[in-house]
Amino acid sequence: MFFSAAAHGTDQTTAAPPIEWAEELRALGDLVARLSPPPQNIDLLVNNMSSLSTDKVAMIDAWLRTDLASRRFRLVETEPFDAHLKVTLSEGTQGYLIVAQIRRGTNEQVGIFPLRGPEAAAKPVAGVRLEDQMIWEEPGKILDFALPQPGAGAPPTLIVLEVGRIAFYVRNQQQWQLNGSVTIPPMRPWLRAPRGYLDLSRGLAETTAMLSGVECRGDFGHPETIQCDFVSQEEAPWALEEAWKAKNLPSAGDAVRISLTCDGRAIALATGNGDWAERDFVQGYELSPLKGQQAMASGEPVALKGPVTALWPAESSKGARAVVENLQTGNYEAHLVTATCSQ
Amino acid sequence: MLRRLVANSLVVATVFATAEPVESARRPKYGGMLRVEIGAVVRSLDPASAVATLEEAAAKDDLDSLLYEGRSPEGTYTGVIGSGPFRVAEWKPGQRVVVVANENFREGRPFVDSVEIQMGRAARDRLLDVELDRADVAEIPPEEVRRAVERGVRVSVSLADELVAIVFVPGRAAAEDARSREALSRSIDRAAIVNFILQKQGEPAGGLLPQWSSGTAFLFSTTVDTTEARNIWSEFGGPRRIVLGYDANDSLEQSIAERIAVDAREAGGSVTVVATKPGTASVNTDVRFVRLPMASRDPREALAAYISILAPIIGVNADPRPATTPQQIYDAERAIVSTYRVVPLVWLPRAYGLGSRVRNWKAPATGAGWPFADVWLGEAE
Repeated sequence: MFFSAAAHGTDQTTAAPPIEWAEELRALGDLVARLSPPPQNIDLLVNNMSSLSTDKVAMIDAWLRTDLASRRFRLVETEPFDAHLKVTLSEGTQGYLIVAQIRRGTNEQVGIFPLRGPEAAAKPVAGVRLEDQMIWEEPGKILDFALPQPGAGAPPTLIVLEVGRIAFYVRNQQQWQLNGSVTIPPMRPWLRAPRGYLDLSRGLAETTAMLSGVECRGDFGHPETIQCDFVSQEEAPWALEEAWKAKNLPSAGDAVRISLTCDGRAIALATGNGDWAERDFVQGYELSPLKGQQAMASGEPVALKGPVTALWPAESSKGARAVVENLQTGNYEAHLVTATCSQ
Repeated sequence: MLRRLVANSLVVATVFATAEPVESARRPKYGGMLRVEIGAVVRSLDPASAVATLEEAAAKDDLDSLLYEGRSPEGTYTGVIGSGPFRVAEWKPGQRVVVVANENFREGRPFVDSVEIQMGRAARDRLLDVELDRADVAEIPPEEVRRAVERGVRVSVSLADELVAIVFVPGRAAAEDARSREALSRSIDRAAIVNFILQKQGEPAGGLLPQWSSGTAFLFSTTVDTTEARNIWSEFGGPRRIVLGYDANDSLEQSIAERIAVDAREAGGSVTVVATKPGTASVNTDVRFVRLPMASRDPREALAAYISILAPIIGVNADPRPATTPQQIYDAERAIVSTYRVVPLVWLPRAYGLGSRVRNWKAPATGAGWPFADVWLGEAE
């Protein structure tokens, strides 16, 4: 995708407007100015090889043009050119890159500027509208997670149930920092596909972490009080959810009821039914109050970068907690999928 | 509420053995034997024993990934043999190996009970066996993927993460002439190799790292430049003969070598291709093939591994400082490639044919071995 010059022969001196990645784009402008000091006639071509949206690339293109014009470069489309500047938005496993190729005659210089990843913007849709927020990611398996309501004046906390550990994080300066953990000692190796569930329905002081065959109870505000024991699995929460799903959304992978109704209809969220080697999604469903009527998909699904390995209703919001195994990074991700009724 | 049981080891064992009380089709099941066929032949599992070919080295590496607990950042396997997801139950050198699930594996017991791996199977037989459900997983050469799909085989293709390149052998007259090396590189039609020989499986390579990893591969030209190659070779007053060796057992190398010879001739050069046996490649050849799987999806680690392998082969001193930023990675890559002592050709994916029972198959991640521990077996379709 190429963006041709929108302003030719411009000689503006206005400052470029604020934009995400302005720092990196400014560094690109500095490099161009160093290699080809203004005033110069420059042929600028912006090319997108990344997954960035067209809108975002157009914004970058416009910003660059304004910035270069403010540096007294003349952006022209016809000869004579003093320099050619090809800017490519690219991406690799380390993230997005801005790659600048500055050519003067036969001499070409390359400048590479790594970018921080942008957040995807949600778009309005009809039916149940879903918003996805990634809370946390880590290389190890996440079985479940919870975001308990913080007490007055207390920082937000995050509880992550892992295979063999309950980890407690505190939000500090926009980052989750490990504040402590409780080890769940295995009497024998864990299952390869273990399941887990954090039950905060009775409050933080009476929380239960359930794993396949193990249950840990205590005041999760005081992790030192947590005790783990071995239990049967006859009434494990996943067995109950599984039975509900089989009755109401048999074609889904995993499904949960959430505390939201739209037009009097109860709402459920469900995953796809592919196996765990595929990308997955979470879809909203409207449940019919009439017996025997099938649930209907409602609104746009949220696309995820890997299979959803756990899906539970979120107590504090009208949505669900989803654990996703990102097939690109191999990390496990904790997502909060919130649902609203759109008009 | 959950019924509390007496916490003793006997009860715990029962709890774990019963696993999940309710299983949907989506959730994994335990049990069964996974039948695998590969083309390579592994003669010994002894870490100290030498391997005869790069193909054997790659297969041995994959086998080790089943048997050892983990891998160090340097790429060596850690732990003792049998500490991985499987342990060896039967071993017939060069023919067959059966591994069984390690009940005590740190990351959890594999879903399948065992894996039988038949070695040295011809590509045609492997494809036929997976087609007839006599094998669950079979390696497929990338150039055979299209044919396999046309025959209805379920095929899994990884990211293109194996670099195929040619390297000039230091000390040979043709190798010590930079202009001759450049002319050969410019004369090669990499797109034709991908489109016709590889049947569009893979990507033309101009640099050492693929675009999906570094994000800067597009800066390395893969376009054939016959005119410039002809200009360079004309400087010599006639074509300079270059001998290109390929592995006599590797049909893909042979096809690519013959294509390079044709391309060079069109540009006024002269390349003679010769079949070589493993270990004798550098005796009478100026140029030879290397096939280099990426050690990691991270471009920093992958490039460092490539440089450590290539520097002694092509006889250059690599910059000991590790490249960490995208700019440094690009500069280091450019420094190697611009010597033309190594000429990247294509990146290949790893392809597997899958039987109808195979579930939860994920194409092997770059730098990782076979994903058999995560595979489970469903009903045959």
